[in-house]
Formats: sequence, C-alpha cells, structure tokens
Amino acid sequence: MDPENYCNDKLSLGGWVASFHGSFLKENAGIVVRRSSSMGLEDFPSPILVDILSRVGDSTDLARCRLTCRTLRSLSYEARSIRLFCSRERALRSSVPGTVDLHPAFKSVVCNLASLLSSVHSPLSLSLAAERPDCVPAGEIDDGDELYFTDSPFLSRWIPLISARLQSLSIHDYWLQSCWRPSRALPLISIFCSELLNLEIRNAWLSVKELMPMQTLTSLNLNYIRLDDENLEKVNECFPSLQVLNLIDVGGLKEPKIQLLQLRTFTWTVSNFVVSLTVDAPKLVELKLTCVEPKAVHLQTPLLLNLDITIKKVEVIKVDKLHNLRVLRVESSQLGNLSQVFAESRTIKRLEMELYDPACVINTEQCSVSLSDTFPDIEELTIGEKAWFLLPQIVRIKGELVSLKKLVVHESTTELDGAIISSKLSILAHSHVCQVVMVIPATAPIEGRVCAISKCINDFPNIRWEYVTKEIK
Amino acid sequence: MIKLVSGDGAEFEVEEEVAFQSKIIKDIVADADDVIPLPTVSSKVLIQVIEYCRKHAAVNSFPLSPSSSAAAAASSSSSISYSKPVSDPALRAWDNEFVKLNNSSLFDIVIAANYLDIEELVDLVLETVADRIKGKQAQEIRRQFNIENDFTPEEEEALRRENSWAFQNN
Repeated sequence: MDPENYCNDKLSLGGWVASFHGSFLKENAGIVVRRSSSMGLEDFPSPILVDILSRVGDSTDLARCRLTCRTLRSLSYEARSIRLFCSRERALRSSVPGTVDLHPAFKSVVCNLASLLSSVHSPLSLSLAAERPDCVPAGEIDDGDELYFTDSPFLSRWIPLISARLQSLSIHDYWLQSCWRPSRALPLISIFCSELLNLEIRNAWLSVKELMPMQTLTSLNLNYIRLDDENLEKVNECFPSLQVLNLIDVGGLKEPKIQLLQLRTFTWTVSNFVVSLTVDAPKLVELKLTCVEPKAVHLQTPLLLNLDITIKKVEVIKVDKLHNLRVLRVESSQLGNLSQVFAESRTIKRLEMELYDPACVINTEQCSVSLSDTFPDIEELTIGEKAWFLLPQIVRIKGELVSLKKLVVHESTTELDGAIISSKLSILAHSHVCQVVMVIPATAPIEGRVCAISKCINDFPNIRWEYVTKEIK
Repeated sequence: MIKLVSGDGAEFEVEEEVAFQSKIIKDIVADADDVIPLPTVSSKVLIQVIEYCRKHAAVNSFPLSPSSSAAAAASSSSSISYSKPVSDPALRAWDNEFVKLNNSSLFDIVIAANYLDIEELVDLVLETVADRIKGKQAQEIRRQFNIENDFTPEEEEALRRENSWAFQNN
C-alpha cells in the first residue's frame, strides 16, 4: 500500500472520529447530544470491533458477545481467531442420555459454528483443543469418540465449510481416544485446505496415505504424534514450502531424512530410537535437535546461524561445512568428540557446553575439549551445571581464548563454595575475560551465595561480576 | 520540537522521537511546518497519548538485548497467537498501569491511536478491552460496555438456546 492511500484510509476512519468529537464539542456548547461516556461498544467502527473480538478468541466468550446485541452477533463471525476448548467434564456432561438439548455434544457445536462461520470470507485461524488429563496410568485407553478430534468423519463434516477461510488450523486431540487408531486427518486437510498457511496437530496417530501436496503451507507443528511416515518422505514431498517445522516427540520414525529447500527454522525432538537422522536444508538458519542415541547424524545445512544439539551418544556424526555458524550449544556425553565436529567453524562467537549424563561418560578423553584449538575465536562461553560441576576432573577445558569476553557458569546448590569456584575459574588465567555471569539456583541459601560471591570478587578484582538466580524446574 | 494542536485548540510541544511514535505524524512532518493540527483529537486524549509516546520513545531508544528479543521470538513462534506482547517486563508493567482507565477513556484513546497510527498503543488498548470481555456473561458485558440490547425477547430466547453450551460452566 503506498503511503498516500494509507493516509486516506486512516483519514476516512478519522472522518468518523471527527463526527464523534464534533458531538463532544457540541455538548460542551450546551446542545444535548449523546455523551461520550454513554457511547456503547457497539457504536465502534466495525474493523475495531472485529479486532477486539479476534483478541477475545475463545468460542464461549464469543457466544456470550453474540447475545449482547445485533452488531456484535454479526461481527462475532468475522473474528479472525477462534479457539474451541472442551474440558473432560464438558464432554462427560453431553454424553448423559436425554440431555442433548441442554448439553449438545461438543462436536456438533463445532459443526454448527463452522456453518455460521462459512458466510464470512475473511481469513480465519481456528484451534480446537481437548483438555489434557492430569495423570493417566500407562497403557490406558478410552474407546469413546466425543473428544477424538482427528477423527476423519468428524473433520469432513465441518472443514469443507470453512476451508476457504482457513489460514491456520490447530487441533489438540485427546490422546486416550486418538492413540489406538490411525487418523486420516492429514490427507483430509490436504484435500480441503489447499490454501492453509499454518498447521498444528498434537496427541494423535497420523496416517499419510493419500496425503496431497500442500504448496502454501509454510509452518507445520507436530507434537506428540505417532506418524506413519518412517523416513519422512511424504512430509518432504507434500510440504515443499515449509519455512518453520517443529517435530516434537514424533514417533514411528526409522531413518528420517528432512529434505526441505525453504526451511528456515527447525525444532526436532526425537525421543524414540532411530537408526539415523539427516537434515538436508540449504536455507536453514536455526536448528534445535534433541535426540538420544542415533547411530548416525548428518547435517547438510550450510547457512546455519544457530545450532542447539543435544545428543547422548552417536557413532557417526557428519556435518557439512557451516559457513555462518555464530551460536552453538552442545549437550552430550561425548563433548570432546562432538566439539571436534564443529572445529572447522571458525565463525562461532557464542558457545555453550553441557554434559548430557555424567554416568554415561566412559572415558574422560571423550569429554576433554581444548577450547583454544577447537574454538579459538569465541567471545562468549557458557558452561552448563553438570559440566561445571565435573570440571576439571571429567570435563577438561584447556588453552587460552584471546577473544573471550564473557563467561556464564551454572552453579549447583551442592557446590556453592568460593574456594572451589575460584580454583575452577583459573581456566581464565590466560584469557581476557571481563565479565562473568554466575547462574545460581534460587534454592541456594543466601549466606552461601554471599560468601561465594565475595570470595570471587576478592580473587578476581578485574572482572565484572553478575549474578542471576534461576528457578529449578 | 514538534507542535501538536488538539481539536480544542491546545498546543503541545514534543520532541521529534516522541511524536514519531505516530507513523502518520512521521509521514506528515517530512513536508510540512512542524505544527501539526489534530482536529479530531481532544486535548484530554492527546495528553494521555503523548504520555504513552514519551514513555515508549524513551524505552525504544535503547535497543533490546539479543537474548530478550530471541526469547520473544521463540515464545511467539510456537503456537498460533493473535497478539504480540511487549517483551520488556518493566514497560509491560507501565503499560498495565496506563490502561487502568474506564472504558470510555480507553475508547477515546484507541480512536486517537488508530487515527495517529500508533500500532503498539492500539494493540495495548484493544487487548485490554478484550480482557475485560473474557469470562463474563452477556448481561455483564452489556452493562460494562453500555451496550443496548436490541433483540426481541423471542430472538434472545432463540439465541440463548442456540448457544446454550456457552452458558454453563466449562
């Protein structure tokens, strides 16, 4: 939009304002007009009301707004963002026979709403969520359907009605009802919602049979999903335009390989066993990869800026040349081996290291990192709690870092001792660190903190000290 | 300094960076004298808007540290959310105090902020109004926002039946 039109747009609304304030002034002149304080919400310009209703978002609140007056009733269907939430209790109430009038099933409420929303044409973000049960005994399932939202007959009743409006769709299913049967939700959404931009599905078992390409989808978020696409071939084929991908606890994978040309941000948490993991994404700038013990990992991500990798153990890890890597976080039981992999990336400025599980460290050589050889140019170094605790016996950090300006160390409550901290900080002896941030657990006793801190200040007077407390999860 | 003139003729001198919180003023100032008449904004509202702009201009002149902006980006990217909250906690607290006003004052401010194109202020006020609607029954919303019930009793009854699921406790 060029600036001139932009102004005109604003001024036309301004024209509305002028008449309103005109009446305000007239009132001051003694003419009786509607006072500004008695102006009702419904007198607002429609775009502003739609904006307010979009922020309200919750379908129950919107239904109550609908009941207040005609203006809000018609505008409520134009809200750009609507969330439907069904509590377990609500689902149980409507399952009592003979109460359909008072407690219609949540699913029929969704279908009715969709048909009312279908008369409007503006873009819509819709989210559907079932309450998560507090705690569930392992292996328990529920053979009901009332909260099974990725159920394809249910989806095909309402998605076609609003598919032309849908820009974002989010479905949080009820795991106890969805976990024991594969759902055709993905193929169905791919057929009806050809213009969807964002899709999020949680707690479901998803089949990819007959999945069609979704050319416009730029963001996909799968969380706690059993996915019938063991190597992610269908995901690559059908979501070619993805820029943001989150695969959190997606199971059913074997040798997954992500191959997406447009991908920029990728968060991948792999909690089950996989043979190998491959990420081939030429435009990726941010990757957070969390996995346990894959045999092999291969990253083909030349433009990566920010990498956060947590991996207990890996036999083979191959990382193609990273030209721009600036921020690296590594958490592993093989800190030494893993560091070597990134040794070629001389562009790294911020580095964070943490030990995955001290019990897994077989030989200390695996955890020995020579910073001056591997990361000579870093400016900021963060050492995680477990790694700092085992310094220098298990984790070794050697060498001088000429560019290092800031060090962040995570203290544990059990070892808040000035003398120990001071001796560990001798690793700084040859560096030019000017700032140290100590992250101290909030549970640490005050006297201990004060004592440790004053000892540090005394021993290293030229360093700027900073203290941060953190809550323990 | 830029001079802003309210609809009722009051003049306010403000620094450029304060006035430029408004995109419209920023566009106008390039090719006009630095006296800007705002005939649709009363002095009472203009004082409040300037107070907001002065605070935000002062905070925005210090760029956010990379870690806090990264955290804000991370929190907004995960799920589908409509509004983008102010990331600086101190500023957010100030904003929360600022909007402790009655609805009609908020309406005046949002109309002015929309006219002046101060996006963050529009966001803040509309978010506040939305928060005041959440969790209330229809009758309470009508009362709080001075809404006239223009339904016939029959219509209201039909609507009530249609939306009955919304009137029990969820």
